[in-house]
Amino acid sequence: MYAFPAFPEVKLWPDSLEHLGIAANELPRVRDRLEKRIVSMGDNFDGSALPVRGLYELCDDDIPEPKVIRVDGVQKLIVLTNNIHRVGFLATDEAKANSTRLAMKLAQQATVSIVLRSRNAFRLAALVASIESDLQKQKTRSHHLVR
Amino acid sequence: MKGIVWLASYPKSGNTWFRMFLANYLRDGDQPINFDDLQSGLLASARETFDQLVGYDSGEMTFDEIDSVRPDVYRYQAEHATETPYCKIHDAFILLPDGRPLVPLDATACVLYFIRNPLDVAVSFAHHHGHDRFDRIVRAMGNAEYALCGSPMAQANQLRQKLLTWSGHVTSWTEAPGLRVHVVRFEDMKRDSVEAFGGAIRFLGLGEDETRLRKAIAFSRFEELKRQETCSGFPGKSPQARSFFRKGEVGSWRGELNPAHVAQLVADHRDVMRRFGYLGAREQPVF
Repeated sequence: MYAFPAFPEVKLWPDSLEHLGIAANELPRVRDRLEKRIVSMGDNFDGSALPVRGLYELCDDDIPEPKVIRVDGVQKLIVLTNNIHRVGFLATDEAKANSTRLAMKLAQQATVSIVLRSRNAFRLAALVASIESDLQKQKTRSHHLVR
Repeated sequence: MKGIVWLASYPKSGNTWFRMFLANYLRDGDQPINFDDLQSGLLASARETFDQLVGYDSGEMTFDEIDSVRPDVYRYQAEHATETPYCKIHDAFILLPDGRPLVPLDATACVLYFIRNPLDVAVSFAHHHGHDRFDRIVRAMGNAEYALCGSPMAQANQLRQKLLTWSGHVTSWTEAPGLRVHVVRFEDMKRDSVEAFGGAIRFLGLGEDETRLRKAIAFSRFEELKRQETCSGFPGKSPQARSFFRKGEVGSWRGELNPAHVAQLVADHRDVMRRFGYLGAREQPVF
């Protein structure tokens, strides 16, 4: 299963932009009368479709530092099905069954983790570092397995 | 009973306490329920539920656009409920610009309205926001434009909720035409729990089982809620607050508000305070 790129832009609220040191008033609005802004990804956008290796579910917590928790078995499937976009709008039983089948296939293919992040502090760099570190560990592990 | 049962209140007025009681009463188990069980109830301002049911990202809608759709969301929830839907709501009972009520009468069974001495609300509400600058809260409680999650500069985890003034909130619900409303005072829930909780249960048509009632009251007493929050946290706690369940006392304003705060609150809310027994004959606070 592959992840397909969406649009080369990110939509952010002024409070997030402020944390990132980006001036909101220089950016286009998502819609008139809405303060949410569009940030172009410019050259930092990869347009290629890539096989899915891992999924991270972001969850708020009271912990100070981000923490990655790997989930397995049925819990993996629960995280995936809880995050299927607008699953309630699948009209037929066949479509629902197909959605579940795809989730199971994805669960077999990719690792699934919960990333706990502080709800009280903006720690984006630490959050990115924790995910990158986890990906690196996975890469090393799979490298050893191949050898 | 068909339609949504609204559990309505200004914030920090005993709504969550009652929901814990109700969940324990309905479960009728041998152990107190935990906060996770509470999450299964409806929350009128739940952003995720709105997004799921509408199929559109509320983060890309204006506050007024969201409000214009909310009545249909509640209708849908009422129509598709398999058992009585109890829905917590902090919004005042307001009319939308086109004249429709935010809370649709045709999707409503009845309303339990929780009220608490505004002097105690001010103290608890300030701590909920993580500070003790009571003058700000006193001003907010007298501001008809005041709303929860109403900043246009950030996306809150809940939808905007217009509260009106504290008095405006109370009268919006208790005087709304066409609603069947039962008012529960926080002070009565503390002082005479069996009568207050029992009255609410009878209003909801949930029977007269006193053993079950007393057990549910015991399972949802303040010390139990505090214990659970200390052990595993409470999902409804604001990020700024130290805890959601703080003291749960009647009259804690006496040690925290200064005379100017009290005078302002009484001046702003005199009529409603008097009507619900919070002011005596000589305008002295009762609790």
